[in-house]
Amino acid sequence: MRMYEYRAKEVFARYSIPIPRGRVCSTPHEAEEAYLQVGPEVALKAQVLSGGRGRAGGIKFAGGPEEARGAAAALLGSRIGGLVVDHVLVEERLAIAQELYLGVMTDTDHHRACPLVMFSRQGGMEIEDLVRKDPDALRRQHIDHRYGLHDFQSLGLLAEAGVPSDLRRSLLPVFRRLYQLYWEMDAEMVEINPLVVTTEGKLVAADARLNLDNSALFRHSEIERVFTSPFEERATAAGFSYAHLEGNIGIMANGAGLGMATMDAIKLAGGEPANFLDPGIAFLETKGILTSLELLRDNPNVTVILINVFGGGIRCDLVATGLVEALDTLPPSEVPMVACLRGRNEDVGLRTLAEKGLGRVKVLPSMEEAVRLAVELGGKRD
Amino acid sequence: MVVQGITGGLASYFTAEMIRRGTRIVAGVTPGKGGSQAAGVPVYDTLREALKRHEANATVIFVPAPFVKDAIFEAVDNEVPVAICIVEGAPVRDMTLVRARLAEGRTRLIGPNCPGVISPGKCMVGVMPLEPYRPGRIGVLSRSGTFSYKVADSLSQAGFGQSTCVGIGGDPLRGTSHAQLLEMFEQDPETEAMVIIGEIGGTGEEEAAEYIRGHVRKPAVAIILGLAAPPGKPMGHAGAIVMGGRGAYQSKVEALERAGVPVARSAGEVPQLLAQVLEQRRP
Repeated sequence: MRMYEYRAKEVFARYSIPIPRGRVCSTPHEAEEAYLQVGPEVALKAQVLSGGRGRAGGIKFAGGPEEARGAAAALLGSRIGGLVVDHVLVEERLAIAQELYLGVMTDTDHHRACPLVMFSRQGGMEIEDLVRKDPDALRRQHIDHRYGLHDFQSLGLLAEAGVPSDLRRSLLPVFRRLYQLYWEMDAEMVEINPLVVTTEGKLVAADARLNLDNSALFRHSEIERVFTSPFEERATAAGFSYAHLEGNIGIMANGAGLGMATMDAIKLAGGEPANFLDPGIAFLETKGILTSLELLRDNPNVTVILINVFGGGIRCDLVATGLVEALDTLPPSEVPMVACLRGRNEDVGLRTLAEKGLGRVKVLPSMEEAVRLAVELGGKRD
Repeated sequence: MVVQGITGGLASYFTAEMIRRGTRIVAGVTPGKGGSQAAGVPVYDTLREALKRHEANATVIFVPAPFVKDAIFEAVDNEVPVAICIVEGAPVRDMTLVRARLAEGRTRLIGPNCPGVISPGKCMVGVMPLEPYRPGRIGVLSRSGTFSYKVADSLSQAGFGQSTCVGIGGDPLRGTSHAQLLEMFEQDPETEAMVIIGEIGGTGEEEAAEYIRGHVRKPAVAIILGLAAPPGKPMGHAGAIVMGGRGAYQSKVEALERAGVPVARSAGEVPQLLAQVLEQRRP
């Protein structure tokens, strides 16, 4: 789960990692008040979970209260990367002498599967761009998580990066605290980019990027759950796995693999999936199926719904009864439905749909045929 | 076989199912429920107590996600040779510690977030269905559960029965990798050829391709899920995510094809490619 910058900075503050003075604002008036508190020069930063904020004009500067108000007004309510800006972080503008990069992530591909600390003297740019341009500029150190980050390892990174000696010791506390934050917060990745050295020689985390492991959120109840789409939020509340996509063919499938296979088949047939949706065990209940159908129907892009089931733990007979009951409960819809039910208890399931489906769901004997029909009904990609 | 977390809903249901299909389950473990019975099997508070009374060489783990690390550590402590973890949602941090512990111990972990293991006609451990499988000589290894059932179904319908099918799990950190399983299948006299079911995310399939080039003589085919997945979002499985250019569909397909493993684009195409590679092998 990616966190908003202002929330990540709250966590930084808890770990005594220095952040700029600032306030999160949701109105231009609040932004003006914030300016008066942290001015005379401020940065106003759109709080969105999409990347490339700077390039999209999501960061503005102001040197006066009116200007701050105006900048906030321009940002609030605008869209960046498809997401609406509800909050703006108003911060003191830093007098920057140097911009560094410091990050910690879990290297899941490493044979020991362990934390990775990364540092560069060239902060302030997208790290992927940096690595492409100048791979040696990013210094990396794998950490044995049983023992944590040692000072000598941090110093090693700083020396490799060519950081002058007098600066190295002052950076050690930030390394220690960031690593501790990464470990204790179950972070997938935490980044300070840029880690600013001000003209007065102070260290400040000008930006904060913190992605938490979704599987660990249960043990961080103080962290607010955030989503990049209202559909994802609804799906998560219902216990589903969901990803919102750009296309028009809505999908319900049991299991992540079957879900991906369905998306792939749609794409290969010339169509465009609207979403990934695995209802999980909710597929066995009318309520779960009903909630899934509502979710898909509420997506204005969806022009056809494809239900793909290969039952193992999931039972086709229960899916069929649940589907019939859900359709009996929901208002009728213009959106056609196509289904393929295979696997456990498929005979009973297919019989139920034949007898009670009333033609509301077109059932095909194979996934390939169901995909083809769905693409036909939904329309191919342009 | 012992079942850790036996008193949970899914666990007690599948314990009965496994027993019905011939798996010898001798005991279960659920802290606090020691002395009771579940699915006709005695329950203990700890694995140690269960193993004092019963012989078991494997454990299947159904505990809630927050307790997966504890359960696996318990299995390693008790030197259980094989642990199969069905559970989805174990935190990554926990699994990094599990990986370190496994390296010091004698336990092989399959999973987590996997449907289990089946040798059709012999034994099933986990939550795999009965119908798609037939005994035969094809080894299947898969990150996906439900899609592997579909592939098994395709194989069976085409006359290719399966020797053993292993779900290695959908999480980013797994106990046993593609490459490690390929080594086992390569040495398994009951397996003639392998089917690799992979998906976007991580580098397991690329490592498998590398391993195949150096060490595997038996024919193999593959299918990779996630062609249609956009970068940056996990597709259901925590491990199925393309990030920072890594774990992309194309990278896996290319690596496998370069290693001489043809890659199917649908479950239906798998038996066709398998027939081709087997044909090529005939002297």
